[in-house]
Amino acid sequence: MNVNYSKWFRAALYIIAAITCLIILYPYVVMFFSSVKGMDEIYRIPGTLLPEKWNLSNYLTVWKHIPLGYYFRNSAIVACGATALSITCAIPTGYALARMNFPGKKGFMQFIIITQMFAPVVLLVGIYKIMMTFHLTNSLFGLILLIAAFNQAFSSWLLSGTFATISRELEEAATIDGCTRLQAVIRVIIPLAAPGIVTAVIHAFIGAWNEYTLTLVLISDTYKKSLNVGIRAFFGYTNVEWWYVFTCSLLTTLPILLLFQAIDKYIVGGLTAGGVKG
Amino acid sequence: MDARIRKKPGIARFEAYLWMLPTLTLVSVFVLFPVLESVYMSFSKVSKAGIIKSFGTLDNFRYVLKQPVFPRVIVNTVVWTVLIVLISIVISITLAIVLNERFHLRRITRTMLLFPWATSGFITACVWKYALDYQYGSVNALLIRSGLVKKNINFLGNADSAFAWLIFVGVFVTVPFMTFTLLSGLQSISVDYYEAATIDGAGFWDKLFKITLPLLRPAINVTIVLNVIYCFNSFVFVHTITGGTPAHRTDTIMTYLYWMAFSKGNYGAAAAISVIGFIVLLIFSVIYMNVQMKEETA
Repeated sequence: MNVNYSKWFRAALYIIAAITCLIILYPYVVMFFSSVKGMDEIYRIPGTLLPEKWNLSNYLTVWKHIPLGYYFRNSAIVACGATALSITCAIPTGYALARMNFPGKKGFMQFIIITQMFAPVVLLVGIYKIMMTFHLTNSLFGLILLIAAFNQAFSSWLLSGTFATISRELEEAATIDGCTRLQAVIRVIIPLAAPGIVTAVIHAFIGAWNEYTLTLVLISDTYKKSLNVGIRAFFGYTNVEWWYVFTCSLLTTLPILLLFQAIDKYIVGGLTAGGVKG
Repeated sequence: MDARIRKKPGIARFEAYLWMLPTLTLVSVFVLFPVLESVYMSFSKVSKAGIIKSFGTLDNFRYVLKQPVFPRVIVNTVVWTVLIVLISIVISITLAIVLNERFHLRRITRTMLLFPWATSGFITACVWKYALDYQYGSVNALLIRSGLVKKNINFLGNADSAFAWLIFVGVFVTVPFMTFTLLSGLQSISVDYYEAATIDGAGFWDKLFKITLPLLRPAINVTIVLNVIYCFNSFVFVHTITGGTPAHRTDTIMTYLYWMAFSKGNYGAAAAISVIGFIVLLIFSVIYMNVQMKEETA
C-alpha cells in the first residue's frame, strides 16, 4: 500500500517494528549475557541484567567439558550430507514434475503432499524400529538418509515450481544441438534454476543443522552427537549449567546467522519465484 | 521437436518414474515404511524391547484411551494448535502490512524476523526455559530490577500458566515464516487497486477490509492449514520447556507419544498414539489439498 497516510499511521509502523525487533532480540541478548556470566551470578536471586564480570573464558573452557569439536564435525557432516543427498534426489524429481506427463502423476503429487504432513516425531516408533533393523542407529549416515527423505517433499515441490518458470525452448534448442535430455538438464536447466536451487539448499541445510528429535532418539554414542543434542550434557538432574548451554547455543547459531546475512535475498526470494505457496 | 519426444510408446510413458526413482526410494524406505511399521505395531502385542509378539489386537488402543490423562492431552493439542495459529495469523498479517510499507526500520525488522526461523528449536526452547525460570530467570530479573513487581513470578509453576507461556513461545517461532509468506502474497497485489481506491476517497480501514484482506485470502488459507500441521507436529518446545510436567498436564500428543515410547517403554501404546496422530494429520492433508486446489482453479 504505497500511499501516504496520516502521521499516526507512520508512527504505528515505527512502534510495531520497534516492538517486534525488541521481542525478537530479547532471547539472543539473554543468550549472550548469560553465556559470559559465572556460576554464582547465574544463580543469584534476583538475577542481574548485565553481566557484572565478563567471563569470556567460558567460550574456551566449554571445549574441555564436552567434545565440542566432534559435535561441530558431526553437525557439519550431517547437514552437508543431508543437503547434498536431498537436493541431488529432488532435482530430477522436480524436473519430472514440472516437465513430464506420466500415468499416476496426480496420485504422486498427492503422495508428496501427504508425506509433507508427517514430521519425524509422529513416526518415531516406526523410524526407531526400522533403523534398528538396518543397523543404522548411532550412525551419521543413517541420519543423513532420514533427514534427506523427510526433506524430499519440500525440496522437489520448490524445485518443480522453479523449473516450471524456465522456458521449454531453451531446453529444446539444446536437444536439437545434440544433447540428450539429461545433458540438457545439467547444462541448461540447472544453471538457469540456480536461485531456486540455492533457496532449496538453504532450507535443507538449516533443517539438517537444527535437527534435534531424530538425533536425540537415534544417537546415544557421545562422540556421534550433534551440537544441538550435545548441549543436553549440561542439563543435570539438579541444576543446569546455563552459562555453558548458552556458549554452545551461540556457537551453534552464529555460523547460520552470519551465513544468512550474506545470502538473505535467496531465503524468501526463491520461495515466491518458485511459486510455492506456504 | 522430434517424434521420439512428442509421441512416446508404451514403456517410455513411465520415463518420469526413472527420474523420480531416488526420491521414491528414499521416501518409501524412510517415510512410508515407518508409517506401515507403526500401524502394524499399533495392532500388535509388543514387548518392552520393541519386539512384536503377535498381531491382531486392539489392546494398545484400549490402553491409550483408558489413560486418565489422555483426554487432557488431546484438549492440550487442540488448544495449542488453534491458539498458536490464530494469534500468529493476526500478528503476521499486521507485520506483513507494516513490512510492505517503505520506512526506515523495514530492512532491519525483516532481517531480524529471520533469526527465530534460522535458530534451532531446541536452542530457542532453552533460552525461554531459562528466561522464564522462577528463581533466576531473566524475565523475573527484568521485572524486579525495573520495579514492576515486588517478588518473582512463577511463570511455569502451574499447568495453565506454563501452557500459556508455551503458546507464547509457539507464537514466537511461528510468526516469522508466516509473515514472510503473507508478505509475498501482499506484494503480488497490484498497486492499481489502492490508487483507484484512494481516488474514490477510501481510507486505511476501507482498503484493509475491502482490498487487502479479500485478495490475501488464498494465501491466508494455505498458511493456516500448513501451520496447523506444523503446530500439531511440534515437539521440541513442550519437551524442553516443561517436559509435560506437572503430571502430563502440559503434554501434547507428540510429547506424550515420546514419553510413552522412550520413557515408559510401551512401544505398542506409542504406536497407537502415532496412528491416532496420522488420522488427524490425514484429515488435515485432505483439507489442505482442497484448499490448494481451490486456489489453483480460482
